[in-house]
Amino acid sequence: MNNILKVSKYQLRDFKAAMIIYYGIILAISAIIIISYFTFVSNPDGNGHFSGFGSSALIFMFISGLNCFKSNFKFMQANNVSRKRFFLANIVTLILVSAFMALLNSVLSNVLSRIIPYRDIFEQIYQKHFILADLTWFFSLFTFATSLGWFITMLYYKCNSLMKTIVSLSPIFVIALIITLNYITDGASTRGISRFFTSTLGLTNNNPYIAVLSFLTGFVVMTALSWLLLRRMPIKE
Amino acid sequence: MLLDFNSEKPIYIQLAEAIEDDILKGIFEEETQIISTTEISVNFKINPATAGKGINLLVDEGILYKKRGVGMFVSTGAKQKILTKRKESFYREFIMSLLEEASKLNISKEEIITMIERSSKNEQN
Amino acid sequence: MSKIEIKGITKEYGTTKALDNINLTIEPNKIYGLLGRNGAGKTTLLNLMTNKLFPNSGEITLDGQTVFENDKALGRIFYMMEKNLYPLGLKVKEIFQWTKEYYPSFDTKYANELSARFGLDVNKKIKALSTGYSSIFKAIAALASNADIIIFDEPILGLDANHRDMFYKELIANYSEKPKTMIISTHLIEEVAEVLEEVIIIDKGKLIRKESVEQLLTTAYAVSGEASKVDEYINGKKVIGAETMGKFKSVVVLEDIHKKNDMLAKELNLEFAKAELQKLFISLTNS
Repeated sequence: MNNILKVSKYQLRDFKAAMIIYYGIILAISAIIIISYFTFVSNPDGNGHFSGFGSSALIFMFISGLNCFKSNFKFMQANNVSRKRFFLANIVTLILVSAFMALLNSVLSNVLSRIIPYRDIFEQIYQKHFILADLTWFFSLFTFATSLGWFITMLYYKCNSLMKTIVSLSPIFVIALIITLNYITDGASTRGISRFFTSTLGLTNNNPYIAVLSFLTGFVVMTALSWLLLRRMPIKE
Repeated sequence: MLLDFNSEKPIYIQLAEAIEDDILKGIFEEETQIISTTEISVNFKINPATAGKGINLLVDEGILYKKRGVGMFVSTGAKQKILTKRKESFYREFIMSLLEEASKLNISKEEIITMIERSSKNEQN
Repeated sequence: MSKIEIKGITKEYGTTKALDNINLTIEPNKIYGLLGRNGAGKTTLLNLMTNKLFPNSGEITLDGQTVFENDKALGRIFYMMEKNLYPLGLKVKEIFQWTKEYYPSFDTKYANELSARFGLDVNKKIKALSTGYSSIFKAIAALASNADIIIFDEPILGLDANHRDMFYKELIANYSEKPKTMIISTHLIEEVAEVLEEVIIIDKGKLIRKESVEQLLTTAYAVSGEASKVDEYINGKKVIGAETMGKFKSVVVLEDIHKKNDMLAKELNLEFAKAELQKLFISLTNS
């Protein structure tokens, strides 16, 4: 375990710099919003509200996931660290970073909502606000986002240039497929997709814990797929 | 000490001879320490096993001995041993072939001795 | 003990065989030269030994334990790669610090000392290092790793004569201080010849030779003298690398040195010399 943590320690170093910059920007934006809110908004009891830090954190986590493979993998290979150890360390890292980000996000939205009319993405979706659900929801979402990003870069690293193009174009094919299916099935497929999201996100009975379960399942699936890629990943010559 | 990497003589033998030369010249005195195998291999950029082989050759002949934890020392009487050995090979390598060549050229022993005396006189001048 | 056994290793890239059924034992505490022309398969073999690549068949073990995904075995090997795998944005001293995390016996003090001696600024970032200093930095990390087995892949790439000299001397001093297995992979043989105890020669993915330098050098010798006389001497013998300068000729005879004909050479007024490892190597890998 100690050996795994040594690898995590290096990976966390990578995240640290990015997170400092990210939260620097977020805090600056928050300050601007607060100042401009009290300066320009004449009617504080209006219906408008601020939001969006939750989703930007989500994007940040996804991009971090994209960025944390190649350089780390190479450095660990330079130090003769096995792929298994690197993989386990990475899971530890993703969980630690996701937990930390979920906590910060929760603190930030709680503070902001006391000063200005701020509603985080979680509140918007579930129309309610309680800390434990908010925390676990964001935590599981972040683990899913980073593991997805991690998987995608690994896929890129493993593929040759032809495969890379195919992978890059795949979203277009998927969208085209959805549109075509929608046309063929007369909207039934789209309704199916939306039903899928409604139920996996726990919107049917407004239960965020169902979403937590779905995100965690996504995280497990992504890490399992990542292991299949990593298991025999050669070092590029 | 000089080693010739192009010579067909193996490096470890060259090394042993070079150390002997230094003992004869008095660079390494009897009962004093000589440079270590490590220093030799580092200085000449030769494999430590090769250097060790050269040193061991002299240890086997009783010219050097090892003081545990200190290093290699020149044995008492080493100089004499080397001289005896060298005289032996001088006789074999130089005198025998000298006489062989001389007999081909019909040079008598007296003539050879005269030649040697002449050259040593020249040297003195 | 740190014995590496390479058993029946074959590595294919598509239809080309980069390595073809390599069987090899690397004994502990010797300085090995892994020699071969560019593209002979040297780096592939080293990558397989260190779990960077995976063989199509065969197995590599360290003291009987497979190296495949084996952190215990891998942690005993330090592999200085020709390719740079270090993050470009990190400073040399930071990499030294991190290396110590994965090689706990890494000697930071020694690494800093060597850096000073070679004129490597440890506050520089990896991306700011020239080819020569990149090699120096990686070689220093390897020397300071204190691993049981240190592999150098083209360690002198981009080094000037002075730094090459310093590197070989340091390598020998390091080995003398604490004997370990060292494998130096290179295609520049002349300078390294005397440093090596054994050579492993690979050509086109096949193992051709694995023997002590001394042994290998008994398989050939050089003879030189007047051209016509040299020709007379080598009549019917297998020779390589003939060099002629006016009437003077020098060739390497591929024959056991104990079989050389002293009498005939004397008669023909010829001189013998040691065959150079470099020339022998060229002849062995030039087919």
